Amino acid sequence: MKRDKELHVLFVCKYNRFRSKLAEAYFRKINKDRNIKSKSAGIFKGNPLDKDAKITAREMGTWIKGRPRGIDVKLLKWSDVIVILADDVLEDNFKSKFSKQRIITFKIKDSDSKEDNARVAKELKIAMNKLVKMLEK
Amino acid sequence: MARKRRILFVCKYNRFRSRVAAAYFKKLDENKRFEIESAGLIKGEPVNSIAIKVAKEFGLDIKGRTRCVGEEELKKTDLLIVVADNVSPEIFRDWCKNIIAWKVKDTKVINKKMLRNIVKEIIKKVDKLDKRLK
Repeated sequence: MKRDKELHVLFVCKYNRFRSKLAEAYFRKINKDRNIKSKSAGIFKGNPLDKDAKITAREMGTWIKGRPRGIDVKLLKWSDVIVILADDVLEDNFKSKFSKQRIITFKIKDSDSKEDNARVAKELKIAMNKLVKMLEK
Repeated sequence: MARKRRILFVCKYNRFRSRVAAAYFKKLDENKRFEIESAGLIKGEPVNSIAIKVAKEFGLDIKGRTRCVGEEELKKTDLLIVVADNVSPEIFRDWCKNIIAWKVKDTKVINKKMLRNIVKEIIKKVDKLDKRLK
């Protein structure tokens, strides 16, 4: 299906340091629809990305860069679809006068160690493949 | 000298409720015993000029940029006060264990009377807090 209008997707997790960054990066890699634009943000502005997160991204066949960013109203207004990649961020936080968009949640638990990163990567890949199909409809 | 205790007031957009609470508590804290800040769960749009006027009626200055909470500052916060019924306190618990939740409602429309009522409600709560912390 060809989209005639841009679709803005915002990926969200708690700190925009791991889950939402990786999800956005992997989505960029597998998504073929050029009219879908993506950004990512955290409920809290997290500390800079660590080395292990970058390694995990490479293992997923993509890369991540840039500083984590905190979510703001501008981003909310920009987005048509909010994708939450977290079990600790509630949809309620985005339900407001600014958000008429669709909210999709994948309850992915944050990585608790370097060893756990692969589990998160695997869950994110599955979620992003699902998302691509969901957005095709 | 010991580090000052840091108190952070949080609402949804840092446009009104958290700013009013911080401004009023700063006024009460004449001896500057605390480091007092405010932030939003989501960085809001600039503060509304009517809201600024209403706060001024109470001698409170809420001008300035809106901002959201950062991970580093959460770690440094000794007491976090949620001044909102639409922000879940649970989300802050990773870093901050000392949390108080005041279920102060937001306004849907900018209405001076409603804003005044919110200010009054917050002032009462901050007065109580001030007594407790003394």
